[in-house]
Amino acid sequence: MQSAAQANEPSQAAGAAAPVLRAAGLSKRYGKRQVVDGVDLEVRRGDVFGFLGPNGAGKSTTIRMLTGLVRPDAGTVAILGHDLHRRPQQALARVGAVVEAPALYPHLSGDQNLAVLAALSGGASPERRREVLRLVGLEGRAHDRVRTYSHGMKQRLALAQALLPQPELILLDEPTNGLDPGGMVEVRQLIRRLAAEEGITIFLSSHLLAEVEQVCNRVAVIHKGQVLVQGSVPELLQAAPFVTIAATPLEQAREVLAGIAGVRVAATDSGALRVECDPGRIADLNEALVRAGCRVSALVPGRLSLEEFFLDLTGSHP
Amino acid sequence: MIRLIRVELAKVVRRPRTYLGYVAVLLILVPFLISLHYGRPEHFLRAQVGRDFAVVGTFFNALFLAHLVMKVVMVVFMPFFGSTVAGDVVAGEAGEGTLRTMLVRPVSRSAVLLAKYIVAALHAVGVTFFLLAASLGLGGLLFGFGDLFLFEAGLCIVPLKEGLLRLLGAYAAAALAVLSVASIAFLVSVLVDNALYAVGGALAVFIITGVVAVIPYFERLHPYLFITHMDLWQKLMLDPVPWAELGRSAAWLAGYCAACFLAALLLFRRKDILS
Repeated sequence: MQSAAQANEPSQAAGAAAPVLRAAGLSKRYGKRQVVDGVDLEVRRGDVFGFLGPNGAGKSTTIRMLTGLVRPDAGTVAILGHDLHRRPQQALARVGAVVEAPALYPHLSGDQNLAVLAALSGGASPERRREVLRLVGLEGRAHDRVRTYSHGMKQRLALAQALLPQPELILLDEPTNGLDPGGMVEVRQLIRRLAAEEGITIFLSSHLLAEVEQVCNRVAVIHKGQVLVQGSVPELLQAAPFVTIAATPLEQAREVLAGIAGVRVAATDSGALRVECDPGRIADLNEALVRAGCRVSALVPGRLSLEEFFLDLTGSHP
Repeated sequence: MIRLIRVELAKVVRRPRTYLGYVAVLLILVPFLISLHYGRPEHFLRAQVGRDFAVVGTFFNALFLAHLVMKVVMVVFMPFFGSTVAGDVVAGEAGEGTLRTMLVRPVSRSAVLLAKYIVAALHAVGVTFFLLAASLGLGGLLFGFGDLFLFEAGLCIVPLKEGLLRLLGAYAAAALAVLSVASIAFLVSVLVDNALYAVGGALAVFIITGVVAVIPYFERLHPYLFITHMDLWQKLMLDPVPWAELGRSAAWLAGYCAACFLAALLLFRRKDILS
């Protein structure tokens, strides 16, 4: 809370420590439905920030509020130190965004699309347009109408559009949605490259845990319009590591494991035990089981699936 | 601002559907050209004046065509040919989602909307003058130029030069009438995500107002309806021209245009872009 005052100051004055994006108490209601409910977010410089949640959790509405498309009922957004509501043009000056599916002008060529969109905010030289088209690998199709592009190409052109103003922050809404596996890999590589080589801070929403794990260093999880947790990816997803152990006889194995301190047998499913423990102790567990005369056929360190992760977070485990 | 207008213009001129209105204007001229080419002046006179005349020579010419066409199409068709772009500029982009791509750029919504309105207005005025150009061009080619015969109040023969001036003025006045309907389409365009709804919405307003305008019960409302003032261009065909009336109608229509734009602006500035 003590840094709330910083959010209103220009980014230069606040220094590198100030968050690139800060949202506080964002709320939005459509009719009777509270779509977003008091969302706080903090994206730091250099982050690839994952905004993770199932479909319908409020991700898109939040992104629309972060980009000024939707007016929040309550709460504030500050980007690079500028209040989005009071000074939208300053706040968005160094921001690129792709909200939902890429929306471009189908009757214009890729290059014309960039020219038209860049002209809204100061314009972009033909060289700069060529540069971003090369960055996303579209230089060969720059003069074809967007109508003829594949979905993946449109996604990349939308990314090029977001890159035009040499942004410090890019917001991407489900950037791999609707892409084939090859396209997904390409876009994820591109995102990683932009963060690593161009030093761009990236905020991306996704409903795919694997995607967030692959490309993000920090994550916020949104569910039913509320942010449940926010932090570094390994911290959050490894919070409750477990091991799946298949051993015979199963009952005896369960008793042996239950007797070890710091180990909890969470569940038994299809002939295996789900054991919550520090992954570094797997060998100890194996030794204990073998000593007790159990035959161990599998020891699989597990991670929570997104589904379980949500069930855990929302406390609605069956 | 100039840059924004250029951007909007670039998008509109490269979109094939922008030219629907122009194609419609050309198509609508075809039956007029046929009837003037094969018809006889006597028949027109009987229909217009209600008496038989012996006509020596002909008053069928480009000016006569430009005026005749106007009397038929300015009532309903032209306002809609002139509204296609106005209905499309916001709703079309909302429907395609490009509105969100535009508005995440650091650009003032008011400036974007003003640029869009200017382009929509250029189209409305452009289509109207295209009708004049096409009538004079094709009419001139087929029938030549000559004095303008007016039958509005008895028979009035206006020399060629003055006739052209009057037509120019009448089309300018008609363009304002077309623009006022286009402005309604523009206002609806801000509220919906489909250009068809916007033009349809304007049509609905037009029809309802038209109904109100002919029901005697609402007589006291009549001076305030935009539709009452839409025939202002006809005043330029009277002799003498009632300038005061013309000016009043023009002011009403301009007021309607401004009111529609301002309402659109208020709505657009607050609008949640959900498409």
